[in-house]
Amino acid sequence: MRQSTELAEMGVGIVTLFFSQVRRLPEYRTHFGIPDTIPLLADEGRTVYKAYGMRIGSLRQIYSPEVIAKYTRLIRGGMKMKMKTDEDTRQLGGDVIVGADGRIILAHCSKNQADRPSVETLIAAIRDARQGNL
Amino acid sequence: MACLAAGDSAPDFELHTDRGDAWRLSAHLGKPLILMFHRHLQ
Repeated sequence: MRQSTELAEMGVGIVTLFFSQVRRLPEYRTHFGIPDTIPLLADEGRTVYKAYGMRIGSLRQIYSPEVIAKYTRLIRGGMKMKMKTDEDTRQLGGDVIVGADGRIILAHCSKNQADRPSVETLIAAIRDARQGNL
Repeated sequence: MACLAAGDSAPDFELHTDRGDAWRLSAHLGKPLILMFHRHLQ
């Protein structure tokens, strides 16, 4: 999990949502190497995905050159693709930072599966919010 | 539903964790939280 230590040192909590059944979550924790300190949440009905505006991708988005290139890099880097899924592979994700007061600091709803903000972007947004620049 | 924007109120929700506990957003406010919505490419 990318630079989660730096975020934890900033006092930032992280939770990861999956559109899966609860029983699948341990498999995801192992597969992605997610630390035990990060709760995994099961949103099987995708009600939270919908409430936060996460998109369903088109085939063009799912199989875009950017996505294929990223998959290729990850596989070459050692990522295993053997994990089976019976879930909707067109469901896109995103990253949302919720401030201490419950207001959104940053919401990024991915345009394709390779599209996500960098950790540096997330950290900068939190620092800006703390300085009152939201 | 459109993607939320900075300044919007985060919709509250409750989901179950991999440990079987209930996890409610409003119970964890008081510090910034990053909600990472999984897609099939991490």
